[in-house]
Amino acid sequence: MIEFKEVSYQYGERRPPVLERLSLRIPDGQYVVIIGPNGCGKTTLSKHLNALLIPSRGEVSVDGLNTRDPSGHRELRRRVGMVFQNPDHQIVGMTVAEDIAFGLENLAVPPGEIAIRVRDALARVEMAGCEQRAPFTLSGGEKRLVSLAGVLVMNPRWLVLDEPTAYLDAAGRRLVLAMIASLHREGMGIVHITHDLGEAADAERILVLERGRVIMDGPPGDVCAFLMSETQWEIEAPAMAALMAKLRRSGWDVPVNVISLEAAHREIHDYLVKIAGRGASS
Amino acid sequence: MSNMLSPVSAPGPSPLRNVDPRVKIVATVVLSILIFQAGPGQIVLLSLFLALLIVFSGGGIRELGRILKPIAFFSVLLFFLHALFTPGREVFSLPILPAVTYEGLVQGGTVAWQFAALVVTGGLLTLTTLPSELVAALDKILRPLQVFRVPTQDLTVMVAMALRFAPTFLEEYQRMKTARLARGGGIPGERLSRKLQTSGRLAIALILSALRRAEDLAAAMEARGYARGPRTSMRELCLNRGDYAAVAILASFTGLFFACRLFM
Repeated sequence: MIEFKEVSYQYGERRPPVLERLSLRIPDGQYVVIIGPNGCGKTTLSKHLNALLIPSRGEVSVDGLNTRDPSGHRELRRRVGMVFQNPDHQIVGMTVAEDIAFGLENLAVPPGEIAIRVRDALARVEMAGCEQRAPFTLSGGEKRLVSLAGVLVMNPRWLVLDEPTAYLDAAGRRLVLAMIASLHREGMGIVHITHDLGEAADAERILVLERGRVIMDGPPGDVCAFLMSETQWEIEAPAMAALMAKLRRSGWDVPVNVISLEAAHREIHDYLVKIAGRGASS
Repeated sequence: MSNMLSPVSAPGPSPLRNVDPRVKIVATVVLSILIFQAGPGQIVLLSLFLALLIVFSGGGIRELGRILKPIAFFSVLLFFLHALFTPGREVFSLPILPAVTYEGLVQGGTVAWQFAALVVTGGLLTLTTLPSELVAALDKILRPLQVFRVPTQDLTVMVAMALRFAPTFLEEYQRMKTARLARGGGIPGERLSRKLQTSGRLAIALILSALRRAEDLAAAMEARGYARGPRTSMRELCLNRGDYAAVAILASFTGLFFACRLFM
């Protein structure tokens, strides 16, 4: 379980706090999306998860490991895999294989085992056979997958992804989102940071962050309805929810708390079947 | 551009390619010392040995040309400077310039050869070794210094990072240059003072970007468990029979070289 207890963080004593008395609990294996406008503290929050930042006040613990205890940092970083926003700033190896091996080398895993695990991790992100490629020859999507493989190879219990679809085209975005959903199905806890609520379709829970505070915490449908009902929030509601709201204003009896295309299709289909049935009976 | 200056070469199969990178690094150091010790008599011997190494590296005349091309101008310049400004017996004189001396020609030839031979020796190392192998070898070679609390692990990682990010910075430099061109900078005929001013700005932007990147990179490395302490390496180096043979050849050649120096 991940636990934040009254966490505040500021980058300098004279600067305003980025996180303010933030408390939250994420149970094992949960898929949480953290959403909010630029500068609301999303990345700062994520960096607390594997002790890259230590709270100015309050406590953060992951699976019982308090981030204030440096002796637990190595284990903490094995448990919490972190994929940064820009893969160019994360890939450290001169070849794909070396980059993926980096984490295992830090954990002092025997060389023979490293080679096997690197191969498996690459196969897991559908990049088998790319071991000897140089990072700068990879496309944006491939770099993202390599940085994901570099984290997965450490067998983490939690995966923290900071805007994992940034710099990706539509196909790359779909691939990465599908991969995150699949990892969650395997039982991995996911903390997914994004600007785009449309990416939260597979999440179990959404936290809306604004100025370092959680302003909404709930299942995707509820958060979507909340954002549709209030116009002062800086976060844009997903396109599907906006479409459903327009249909609703036109007199269609459909819910607005819809994020994914599949769910929108299902709701519209059900509504059309319902009115078609009504027309036939009258 | 990044491909051209890529640190990740893909050396083809060759006898030298298969030699342990540690042996190659040691050999490079030994040969560099010999090059500086060489008098006119040993130059022929060393040149023959280097030619043999070029053959064993799988490279030919074209590869040799590629290595030497960037330094050709400086080699020629060195030769002429020595030929013209070394005092000694006059061989012939040129209008305006000082007279060319015999000692100057010999010294110029030796220095130009030393410069070229050093570059060829270094080129042979990078031609037949992947940068990652070089880093792994450096790690092993420096490891004994840990006894004296030298942070060899950090030093090796620094070298690896420098090699890894060289093409990235080149890419970034190109991007900045293109952005400058797109906004009307770098027009042909621009005054030198303006060019220097813009280059300074580009350099500052590049340094700031490098610093930001270094900070992000440090966080990413830390997030993946990088810290001082026990580490392993995916690339385990071990010496085989071929490597011992290479060491024996190097030792024999060094012996022959010094014997030549004594008797020639």
